[in-house]
Amino acid sequence: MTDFLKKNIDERRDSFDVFDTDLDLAWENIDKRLHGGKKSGKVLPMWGWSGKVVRVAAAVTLLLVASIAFMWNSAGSSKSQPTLSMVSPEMAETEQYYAMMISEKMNEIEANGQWVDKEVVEDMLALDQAYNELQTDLADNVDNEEVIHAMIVNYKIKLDILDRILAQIKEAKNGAGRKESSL
Amino acid sequence: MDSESASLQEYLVVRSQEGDRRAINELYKLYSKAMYNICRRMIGDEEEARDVLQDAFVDAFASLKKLQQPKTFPAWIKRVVVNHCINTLRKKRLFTISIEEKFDLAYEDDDDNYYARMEAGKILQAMDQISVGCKTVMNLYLFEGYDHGEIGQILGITESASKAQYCKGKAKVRDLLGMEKLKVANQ
Repeated sequence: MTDFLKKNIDERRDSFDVFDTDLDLAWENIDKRLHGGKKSGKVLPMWGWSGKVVRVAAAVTLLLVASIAFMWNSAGSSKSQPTLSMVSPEMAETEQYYAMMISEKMNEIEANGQWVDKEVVEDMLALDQAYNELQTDLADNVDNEEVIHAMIVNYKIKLDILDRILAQIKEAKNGAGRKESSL
Repeated sequence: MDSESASLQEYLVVRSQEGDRRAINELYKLYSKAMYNICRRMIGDEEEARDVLQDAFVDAFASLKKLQQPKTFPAWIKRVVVNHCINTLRKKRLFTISIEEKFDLAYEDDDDNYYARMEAGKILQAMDQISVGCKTVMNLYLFEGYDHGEIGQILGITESASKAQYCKGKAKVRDLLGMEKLKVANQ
């Protein structure tokens, strides 16, 4: 026998989330209980981070930029693995665009001679690892839309990380400029 | 959830497990409304539901490292919230549930349009008027997607008892909605 009540609710499930409250206030209490009111220390590259993430440390610049470049070259554009360009000419263009943007931003970071926080490098490594796994999935099924989406998201996150590194570099430079001019 | 959201959600879970407070906040923003609605449907009172929501999220985030598969976060957080709601009802001694395994449904003359004509708020209001035990089973089955076997495990009753509670609750809700309809018709 059909359960019409269940069927009807399934068909319009979202309309039953009718209740609202001050969720920001609830978050303040949750955050206080979790962290005792301390200010955030660790940072998330996707949504911006504090000035501590990017510091001037010329001595390690080459090593770290070289590490990221190696990661990118070894995972993101591996010729032995399938890439988005296999899917369609449009995807080939998309991939080319992201690869070019990422390459440009890497060069820009390198040219600025900045040290990138270890956490950021770890994020990039994790993203490359995820990309490798997606390439394997793509090899199994080249029409898998979920895998294609995830690969694009992967590119976007990498680009976002690099953008934020560059923004921090600019901010650091402006800050240093202001300090010098006020002396 | 589309694959893009799923990838971001998994990324947020991993970052949260590493102690990233902004990621934790983003996860909260993604799930708090849905989780609060579970609390409200099960607990009823707004303030109390918010307290339960806070307790549940504090517990969930404090033990997030134990979650081995980030992609299971949505089901995991829902279960944490549901358990908190049930514990709260039990503490208040409101939660009594019959272990009877049979319920004779005298009539089942619903049709596809009967509930479709009802506003969501009216159905929720009717559910709020039945016993806490029946309401809990109905909430878990109708809104949270658990089957009667899973509900039995969550509540510590048999699958048959869960089904019986559901049928009993549904009959009451149907009566209440029918009465509501008559009231409207008489006005």
